[in-house]
Amino acid sequence: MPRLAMVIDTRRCVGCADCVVACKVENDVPIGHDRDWIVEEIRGRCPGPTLEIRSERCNHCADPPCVYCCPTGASHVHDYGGVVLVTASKCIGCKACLAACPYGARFIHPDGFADKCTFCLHRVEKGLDPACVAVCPTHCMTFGDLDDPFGPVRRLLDSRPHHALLPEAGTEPCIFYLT
Amino acid sequence: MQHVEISTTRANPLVDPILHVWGWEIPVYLFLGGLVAGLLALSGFYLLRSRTASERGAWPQAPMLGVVLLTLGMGALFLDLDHPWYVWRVYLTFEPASPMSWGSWVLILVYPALLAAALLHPPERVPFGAGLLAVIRRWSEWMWARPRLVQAIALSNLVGGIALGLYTGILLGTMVARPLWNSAILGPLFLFSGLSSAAALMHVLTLVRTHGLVDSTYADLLLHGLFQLLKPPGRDPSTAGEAMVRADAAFLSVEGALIALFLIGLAASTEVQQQALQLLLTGAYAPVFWCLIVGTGILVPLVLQYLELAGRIRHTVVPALLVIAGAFLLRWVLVRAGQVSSWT
Amino acid sequence: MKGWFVYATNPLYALPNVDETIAAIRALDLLVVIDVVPSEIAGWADVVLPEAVYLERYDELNVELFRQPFVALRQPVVAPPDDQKSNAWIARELGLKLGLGAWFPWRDVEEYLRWRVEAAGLSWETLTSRGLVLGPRPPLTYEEGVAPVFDTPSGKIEFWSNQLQAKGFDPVPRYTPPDPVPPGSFRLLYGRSPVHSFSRTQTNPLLHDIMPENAVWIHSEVARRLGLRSGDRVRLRNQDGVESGPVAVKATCRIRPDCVFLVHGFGHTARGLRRALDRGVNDALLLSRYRTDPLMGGTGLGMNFVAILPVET
Repeated sequence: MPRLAMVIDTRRCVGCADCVVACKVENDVPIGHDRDWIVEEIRGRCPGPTLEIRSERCNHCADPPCVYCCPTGASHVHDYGGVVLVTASKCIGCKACLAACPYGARFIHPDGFADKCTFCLHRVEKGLDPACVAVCPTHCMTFGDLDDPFGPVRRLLDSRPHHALLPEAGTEPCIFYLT
Repeated sequence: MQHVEISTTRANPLVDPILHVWGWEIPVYLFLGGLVAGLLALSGFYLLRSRTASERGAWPQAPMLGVVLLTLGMGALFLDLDHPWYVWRVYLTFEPASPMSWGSWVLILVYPALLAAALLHPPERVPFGAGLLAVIRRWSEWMWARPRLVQAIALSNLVGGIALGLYTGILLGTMVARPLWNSAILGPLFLFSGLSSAAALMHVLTLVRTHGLVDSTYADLLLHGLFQLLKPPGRDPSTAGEAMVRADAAFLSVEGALIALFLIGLAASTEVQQQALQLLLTGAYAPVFWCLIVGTGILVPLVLQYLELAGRIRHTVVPALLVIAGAFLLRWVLVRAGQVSSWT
Repeated sequence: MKGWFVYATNPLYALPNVDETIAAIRALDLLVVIDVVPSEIAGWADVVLPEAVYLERYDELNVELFRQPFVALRQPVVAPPDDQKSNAWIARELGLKLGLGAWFPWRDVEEYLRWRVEAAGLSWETLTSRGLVLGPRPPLTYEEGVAPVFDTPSGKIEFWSNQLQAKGFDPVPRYTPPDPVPPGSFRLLYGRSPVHSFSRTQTNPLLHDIMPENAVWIHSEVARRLGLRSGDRVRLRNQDGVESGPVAVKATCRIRPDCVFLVHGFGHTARGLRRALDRGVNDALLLSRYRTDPLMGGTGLGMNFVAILPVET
């Protein structure tokens, strides 16, 4: 059973936000809401600050607190790929999942249900990459099976230094940033 | 500390720049839920100790009051939902990992427990006339004739109350993403806060209705079992007033101890927890926390009640009202500050 | 100058010294603006010809003799939402009305492009289906056999240029230090964000959502000294007294202490750019001073200095 994951090369990302635009168009994300977003992180001061630009989204954690806290089972792990999804028709809008996510990756859709990145499952099922990955002009995003030892995700993680976000929160995020 | 600048293009409502998904509705619900939990537990405990119908009479209004307050609380909960017309979905499943799922079922199951307890304490008058009152009285006597049934109702009230009180704290306590809430103490803290505010509420109602004191049997039955420890040597809780004061003080002391343990737990934990703690100790919420929650919510009532027990000041509703206000503000501040606390 | 056709540019943003540009506009007999957005320059026009956007029209062939030469076709993929026309249609229709039909011997631009492509010996079908045709890569380096001869009088790379000296310029470029920053002021720098293009995308709903306004970057220590934090609003006033509207502060270590920075293209005043209206500030407004390089004509804008002022409440 594949574990879908994303590897993003922060040395190639220029923060153009094409991934953000592509996601909004592909998934009809309402204006004023973001399923993915760009973060610029500066560490240190001149003359030696470092800059990391990241395209962030839901990390589709392997140990997802947003799934555990849901009282209706609307927030669930899909039976393929470990993708974390929300069934809108089961969601009551209690917002526990928004409070439970250490990354703040969820939001409430104007229609009232919890929403977030879905790894473009509708595209993945047709053998395509998620919209953000497909559109990136610097090709800095790789999407695939974390458990495939010879797949592109595993090969990148085994060959280059990388980090995930807030690993100490214990949620086992599946988005990795090459540094 | 390394200089860090973070900018993001994300601007999701309710989430950015600071999480504020829960406004007044959730603290109101948590407060009313705790109050009802206390009413349930105390009614249940009292019922367990009564053998016959004639021994009842301590807090006859408590169960019906519980029904009303619980309904108000659930109303607040409903108002918080953003997809409210799907709320029935909660009752199509049970999610063992979700404290909210546990709580939703507990809420539904305590209604019959409260109504049954209310039937065991029929009121003096009812709005729909003597006919209904007669029916109620008949049911009540039917139930009292069956001691095992009374025990079952009592136990369901007691257990339901404890479950309701605990789960509201566990609901917040299991959220790893909110370091301020991420403590196992929150469950017992909310339970004892609920118990103390329920005792305080009944204290107020009793004082207001009776302008003082009722018969001593009521005080004995309610309190002797649990609160012998607070009895100053040589003095029996000969008045109900004193007994109620002791009840308040007992629960309040435990609540105070649990708050202290909560703070210690955060301080002796990781950096995110320590930062979260500062929100209460020295940050934006410090004035309300220290003055209105710890101060007038716990310490001042304790002092006043001690003085009342020692006969130095008159027995008034003031300490009890301060306790109730403090319990509400505890929920208010924790819900607000908890959303501010984060890992980033 | 009597008449001015402005195509796909907003000179009130693209040029420094807005007052000069407006004075020039006022001296015109005719100003025609052809654009896809109702920009500020369109507000000054006598005639506005709305154009279809690049996805809705054919454009001229993109022929490049880069390291890898190619011919690229830019073709429409959707129809324009209304009656917008392409630049080729506009040019031809104007040409016909001016009696210059002889220079537009084609019915439509597709016919013209096809004729041009086939005259070059390329396949129209290949271009329309693949979008581009690659050309042969010419030899460019010494290793590839190209002789090291250069188009100079000596045939060599010249670090000292007699040609320039003969024309009265420095034969070797001489460093001229930039104007120093007056005390209490900051050199105004401007640049781009990867999200927006020039001054024309600020009203786009998707891009506006990502970046709705610009902020003035101020060095974090300077900001602290001035009592400013990120998000506070300030005004900027330059050396010629031009004052901007309120703009948000971004306190950061990513800028020199003697400079401030603005992303170009904000502070719109055109009502048609409704989402962008009054969001952020226009750097071009504050770039009232410029210098033209005497040798190659490039415009230097780095001699504008702004003072940071509080916003009156």
